[in-house]
Amino acid sequence: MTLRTVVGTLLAGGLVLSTASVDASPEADRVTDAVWAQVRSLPAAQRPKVGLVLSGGGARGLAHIGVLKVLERERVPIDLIVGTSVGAIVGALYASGVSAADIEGMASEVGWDHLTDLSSARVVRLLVSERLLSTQKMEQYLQARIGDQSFADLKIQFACLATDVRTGEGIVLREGSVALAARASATMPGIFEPVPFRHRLLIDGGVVDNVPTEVARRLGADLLICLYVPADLSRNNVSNVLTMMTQALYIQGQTLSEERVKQADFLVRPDVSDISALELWRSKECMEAGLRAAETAWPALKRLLAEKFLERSVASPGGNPAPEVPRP
Amino acid sequence: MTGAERREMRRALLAITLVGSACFGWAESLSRREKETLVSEGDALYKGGQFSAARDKFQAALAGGPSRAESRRWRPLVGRTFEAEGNYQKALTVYQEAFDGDPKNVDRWIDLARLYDAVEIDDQAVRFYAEANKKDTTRRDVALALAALYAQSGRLAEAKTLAVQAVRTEPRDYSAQELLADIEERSGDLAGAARRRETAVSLRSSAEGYMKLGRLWARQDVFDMADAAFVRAGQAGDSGPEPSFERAVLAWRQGQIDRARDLLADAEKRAPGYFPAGFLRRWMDIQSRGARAVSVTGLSPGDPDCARWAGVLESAGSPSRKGKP
Repeated sequence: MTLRTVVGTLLAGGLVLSTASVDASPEADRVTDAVWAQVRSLPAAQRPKVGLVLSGGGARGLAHIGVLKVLERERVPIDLIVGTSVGAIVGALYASGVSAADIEGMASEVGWDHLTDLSSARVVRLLVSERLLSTQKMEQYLQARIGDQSFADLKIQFACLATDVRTGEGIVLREGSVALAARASATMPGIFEPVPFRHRLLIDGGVVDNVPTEVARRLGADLLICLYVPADLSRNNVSNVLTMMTQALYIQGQTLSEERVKQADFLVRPDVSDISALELWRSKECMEAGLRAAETAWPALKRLLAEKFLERSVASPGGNPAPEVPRP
Repeated sequence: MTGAERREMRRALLAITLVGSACFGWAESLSRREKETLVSEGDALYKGGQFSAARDKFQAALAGGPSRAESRRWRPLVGRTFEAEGNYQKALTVYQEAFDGDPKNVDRWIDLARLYDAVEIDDQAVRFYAEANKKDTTRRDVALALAALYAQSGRLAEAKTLAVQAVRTEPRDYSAQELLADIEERSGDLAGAARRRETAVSLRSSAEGYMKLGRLWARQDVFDMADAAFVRAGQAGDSGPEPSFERAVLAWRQGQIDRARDLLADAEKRAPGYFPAGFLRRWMDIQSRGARAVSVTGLSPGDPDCARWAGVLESAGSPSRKGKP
């Protein structure tokens, strides 16, 4: 295989790298660092559009915050965020300009009672009269932090995915109130009541697509980084009809997600598989796992970004990356 | 009983003792001085790297009728010899016995913590170090070991608290300053980390320390400070081509192409065939010559990773690629 073929294969797109650390040679690392230092601040027109996909996963999805901290620290430019469920909430906050550290602070304190009308009485009502819980407080929680921003106001292009419970369609939300959209995207079925949105009745986007890589591609992402937090299904109890049915749904969802993940250029998969979607009180563990996974993956991701940025910068009408102007 | 009978009786008792010792392994009771001598001989052997011989001495002292206090002091030394040999299983057994016999002693917690750390059972190592740290808050070695474990598992805030305490207690502790710089860097506080690394290299000057410092300033685009650190790295010892290469990158990033070329030439002079310098020189050729082809001939990637970069260069320098969307 010639050099050109090797590089061609690697740069051809559709490449998915695992979260495992790739130990490059020190000399190759020096080149990567030099190129990355030069290309990381290229104008958007001279580099690929970088998209970030944040999967659903309930509490496990708080691992995204740890990954965002590393991307922010390394000054990776993010041009587009697409999220489902918890990924929509984290994505909405980040796209509106809240820093990863501030989101981390929120996640450390948040409980289900901040996001829903959960109380003993409500749970009894849910069990006895099958009246679902409301996620109205989730929207209020978001509004208190990002205001009444619409998608057009956001600092980073953002979209999130919900499911129309009447038609079964996956709905890509890109207009109107961000807080309402993120709430709809994170409304877990069976526990929380659907969210009316225009003529639709919306529930969690994870029902149809927990890892919206396809949506991100449609929205123009050239280089797609996917953050995915699957559960370890083997830990679930499958001792009765209800848990068996739930497990079957999880299997279906996870099978689809594994396919979706393949559309990413780079995958970060924090190890939070032993944490259930409802265990919000384990937020710290999740965020730490995200940070660890991202730090392990960073050398390989940096290399991919440096290569793709360099290649695009050469091919773009602006030509090669111009030397930086020294700061005064 | 006559004198002769008494002598006969003593001989008989001595014979019984000797036979008993030989047959049943009865311990011969040693004097305190003999035991201390054995232990100090063991210490000397341990320090000389003769762990098995050291263990024999410690075990002989322990077999010589030690008091409870002596047993508590010397048993862990046997564990230490197993640990030094990398026999962690036996070390664990001995340390656990020592711990069970003396659970209030902070050193017994530390022995187990260190061993769990060595075999990478991090949760146990954290548990034992944390308890040891609680029992004795003045032990900087414990605080730093715990901080390093916290940092490793992503618990940066807790790691920082401990490392800050350690640095406050002893600001001249190089490893504490280094650890805190690492934690600050990972937490995204690059300016804080750079200041910390400045302190660290002032305590222990090394090419590696200055290279780390220079790269940290370079990441923040503080070019003059980065350049100064790389210069110091070059002066600090046999640092190879890297300081000149990094300075060339800084010059390149600031548009000082001629200076960058000079520095790259210096790097290649120090290490002929140094791939990063060859790469960057050719990349600057591509930038300055525009669409004209740039040959990668003479660029010798020593490994597949460098070969990948050489391929990128070849692809970017090819006239057919220029202007392609």
